[in-house]
Amino acid sequence: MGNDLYQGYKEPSLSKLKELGIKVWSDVEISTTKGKFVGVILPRSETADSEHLVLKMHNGYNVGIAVDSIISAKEIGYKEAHYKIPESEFPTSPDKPNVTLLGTGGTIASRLDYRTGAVIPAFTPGELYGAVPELADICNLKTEKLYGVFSENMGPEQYIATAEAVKREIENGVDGIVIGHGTDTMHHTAAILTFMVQDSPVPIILVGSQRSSDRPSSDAAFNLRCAAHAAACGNIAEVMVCMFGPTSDQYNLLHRGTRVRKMHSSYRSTFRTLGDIPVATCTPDKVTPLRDDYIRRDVNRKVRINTSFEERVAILYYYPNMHPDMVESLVDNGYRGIVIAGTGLGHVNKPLYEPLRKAVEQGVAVYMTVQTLWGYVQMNVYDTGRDLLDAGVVPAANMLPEVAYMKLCWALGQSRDLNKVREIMLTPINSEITEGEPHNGYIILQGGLPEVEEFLKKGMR
Amino acid sequence: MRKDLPPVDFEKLGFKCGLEIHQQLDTEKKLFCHCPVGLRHDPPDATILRHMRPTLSELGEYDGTALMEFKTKKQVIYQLNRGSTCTYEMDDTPPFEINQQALDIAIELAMLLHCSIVDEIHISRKQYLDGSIPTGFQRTVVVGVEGWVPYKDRKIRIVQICLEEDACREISDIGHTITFKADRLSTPLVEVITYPDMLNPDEAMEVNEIIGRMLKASGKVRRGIGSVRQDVNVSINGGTRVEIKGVAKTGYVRDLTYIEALRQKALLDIRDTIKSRGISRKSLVLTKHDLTSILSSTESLSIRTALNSGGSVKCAKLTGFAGLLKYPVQPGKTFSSEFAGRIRVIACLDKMPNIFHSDAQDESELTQDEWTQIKEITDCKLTDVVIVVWGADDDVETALEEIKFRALDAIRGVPNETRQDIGNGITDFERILPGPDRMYPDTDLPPIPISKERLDRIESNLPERSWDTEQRWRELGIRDDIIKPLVISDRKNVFDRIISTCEVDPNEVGAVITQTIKSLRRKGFNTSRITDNDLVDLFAAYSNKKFTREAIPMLLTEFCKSSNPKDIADIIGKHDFSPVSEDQLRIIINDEIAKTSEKHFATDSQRAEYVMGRIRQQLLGKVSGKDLRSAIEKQLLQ
Ligand SMILES: [Zn+2]
Repeated sequence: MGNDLYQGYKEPSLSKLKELGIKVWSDVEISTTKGKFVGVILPRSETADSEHLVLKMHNGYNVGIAVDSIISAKEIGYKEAHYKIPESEFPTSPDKPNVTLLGTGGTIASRLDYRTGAVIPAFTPGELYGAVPELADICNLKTEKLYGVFSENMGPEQYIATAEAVKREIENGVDGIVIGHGTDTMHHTAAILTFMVQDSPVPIILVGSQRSSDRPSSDAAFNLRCAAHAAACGNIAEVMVCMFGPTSDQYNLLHRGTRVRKMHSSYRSTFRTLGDIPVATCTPDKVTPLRDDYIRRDVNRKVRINTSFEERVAILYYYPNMHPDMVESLVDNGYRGIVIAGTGLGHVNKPLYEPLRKAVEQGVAVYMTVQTLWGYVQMNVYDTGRDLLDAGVVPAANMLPEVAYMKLCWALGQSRDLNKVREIMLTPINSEITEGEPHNGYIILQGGLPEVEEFLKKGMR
Repeated sequence: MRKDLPPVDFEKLGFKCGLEIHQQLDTEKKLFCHCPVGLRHDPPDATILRHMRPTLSELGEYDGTALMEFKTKKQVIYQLNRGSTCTYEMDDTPPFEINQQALDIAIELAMLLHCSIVDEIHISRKQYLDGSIPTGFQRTVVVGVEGWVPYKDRKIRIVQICLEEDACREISDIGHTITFKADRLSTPLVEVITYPDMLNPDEAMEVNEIIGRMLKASGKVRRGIGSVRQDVNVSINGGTRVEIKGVAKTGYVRDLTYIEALRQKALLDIRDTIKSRGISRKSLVLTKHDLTSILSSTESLSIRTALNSGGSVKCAKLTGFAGLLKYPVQPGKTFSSEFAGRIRVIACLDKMPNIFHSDAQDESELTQDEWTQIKEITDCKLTDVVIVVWGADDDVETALEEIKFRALDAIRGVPNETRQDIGNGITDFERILPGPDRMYPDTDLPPIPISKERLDRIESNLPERSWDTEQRWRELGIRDDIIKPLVISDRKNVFDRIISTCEVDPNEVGAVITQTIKSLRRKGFNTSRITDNDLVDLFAAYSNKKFTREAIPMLLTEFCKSSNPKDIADIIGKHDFSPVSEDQLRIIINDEIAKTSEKHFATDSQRAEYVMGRIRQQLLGKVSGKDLRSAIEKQLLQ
């Protein structure tokens, strides 16, 4: 109790509130040196300064009042906000598929938290039904909150627990799994789950939102409906990311967990499949495959999990003039795996050869990927590459750097034998390495070109 | 303004009106991104499609309007033009820092309105689910509260002044698709909200004009079509606050508020009639009936069109409502229009007519026979009314629900709603009036403290308030028709300079600035080359009797026309304005009169007019028009 009456207020505001006999949620009339203000005192964001108090005026607007300008205050009422998402029983039906939604911290439906200014997720089936009632048309929903972390705070502990939860739910007989996830590292989680959870009989769909669900234009509800449908009714039993295709509310894409990457800091259609095409398009009532080589739903298949994970792995994003100590310090600090994001076909400068050779000699697994993101590592074309091969750096074909990182953590978790690790790394589990890149696997349209402008004019993008 | 409105005792009616005046600010860039402000008239470069969902407000409740908009399930299309929109307008990028220039202007205007300036501004989100803003909310900030403007012998109180981003421009709204152009989005504007202190329609219009002039007089706001829009709130005793949105001209305010008062009065009369028939919100009976089979071969074009495209036709019977739907509520509109308006907006049945009802069978497309059948299957008594709707089945169902809601509202009296100006003082339903629940804090941008230094800087440069300027000029004997355009003119400072340095009639100076120069500009002359110094020199020469008043338009015209004028003195110097002696003048006049001896004029005055026209040009600037006229008349009399 105590300071709960003054949520977020620090000195000198705190003493002033106490002195005036007013508290958070007090409806007050405040006289200041500037004039009179009337409204409800709101909690103060913990990151905001301590010189102002926040008043919600009766017409809904918020204003900040300098504490030192307050002459007097009178409490005329008290109005505590009751955060409540309209909740009702999630309707179930024996004809509908069963889907489990696992929460890791991404927000799908939400309310606001004054103190942090953050958005608090709605998560129970009842809350979700209140916010996205259309879900009940798609499936019977069960939810389980695994974590409440921002996606940048996801790590091995969460990956392992998620994989285990997925296995448990599959063994309980669900028809599909949806994982709510923050978008920043959704592709990391999609990659590691592809490795940790294999032979799933049902779809495993990661979903999040780029516009938080506290805003009317949020993509959250649409994403969730699409993901629920892909999990409940889709025939693609892979680990996939389900997010906006175009920026318009039209359809989502299902991206393979090993070939997907967040490519824009804020666009809705931020997730793209790189070096290949997506698996399918998806709406709240239809999954339309774009290819035929996907793993089919099969209730008889037995899911296997392997949650091995070595934490001492790093990505080294190469830049010109990188000094040898960058590699040396990783080795000195006990890192057991290094994924290099090299330039061009997979290159680093000459001064790094020697430390890399030493690293390999000391048993560090070193893999080469490309910072161009699209295309294959090809280290035989130039001397540079051949020297690196000679030093023991292993080319990781067209594995995306983040995917190679996740896979190396997983492989090193299973073995210390570099040959064994190499075998795991280079044997694709689900398209993290592909036989070739299709002609349409690299499409970055350039605005301004007449044909592209024509394309943009014609339809919704 | 309409002359056909019945006289009303507004005081007795308890008329109250408050204003919300939205004025765009004259900044180069938008409020929350770096795109330039301005409208685009070329075709869009791209379009995007979105939908809006209601969300929870800060205090945890859904807003009424929000739910209503969601019912309409509109597809929202945004048209984008390269150079006027970026990913902010697309709601694909969080806001950039607030435009500081706009914030300074808003603070200045708040000070001019005697508002208390907020110490720390909080950016709020005001939900709009109509699609007019791609985020689904407008970013808005209270800058000042509790101000006032002088009016007659009292003060009109200001609730607050906000700085906010403008919405998109609506291009079309057809059925379930609404299209917007995003060019105007995020243009900075201020919203000035008054208390309901205006006590009749004329006051509403006059106060609107006073505040409008004050904003323009600041010289920091945008001018021209669409740069200012007002929302007008009206209520009467026993009525409810009704908001008329987006009124484009202050001139419309009087008729709109007048007719809204009459509408509310009519709705209260209807309420009393309903009550006297013993109907309450609890006892209201509405039954729904499917008419699709009995009207399957109707001749009604509206209904046939709906049925041919797979729709349905249904009706609602309201027990005890007979006769009410033909009760007049606005000039040329009956109570049935209240139902039609809600159905148009909420059920998206926007092809008019969208209802037929048994109170006006003859005005419907249905035959007497069809009405007989309808009444039979609905068991419609003489005291009941039947309302028929048609269209896509989902929409028809929504429409029947809305009929029920509107009937329930009628029992209460005047519904809380926003209405749109559809011309000639008439309004139609727009949406349910939103409550404070649609406001919630913007989590993308932190609060911004307003420093004392900033306030001091703005205050020390505060211009004279327009009403003070007007009062000062009025005391100088300047006419109102000069004062009003002059106070919003960007040449008002040079006006003060001229009247304080030259011996001239201020009305003459005012007329040159507000009329002569304006008419030159309208004729296409480049009046911007007339500098303040040119005007001062011009009036200095005039006050020194270098030429008469009649020469001024000619001098200004020549100045604007000439290819390379140095300054106005240059042009003045090219003319010979040396005065004409009385003898010379007499000779010129007599010569001209002699030339008219053959001509016949009905009166001497006409002859004088003719003579004047013949010699005016050669004497321009030398003899004043008044002197010339009296000299001619004098000669004619002899
Ligand atoms: Zn922009």
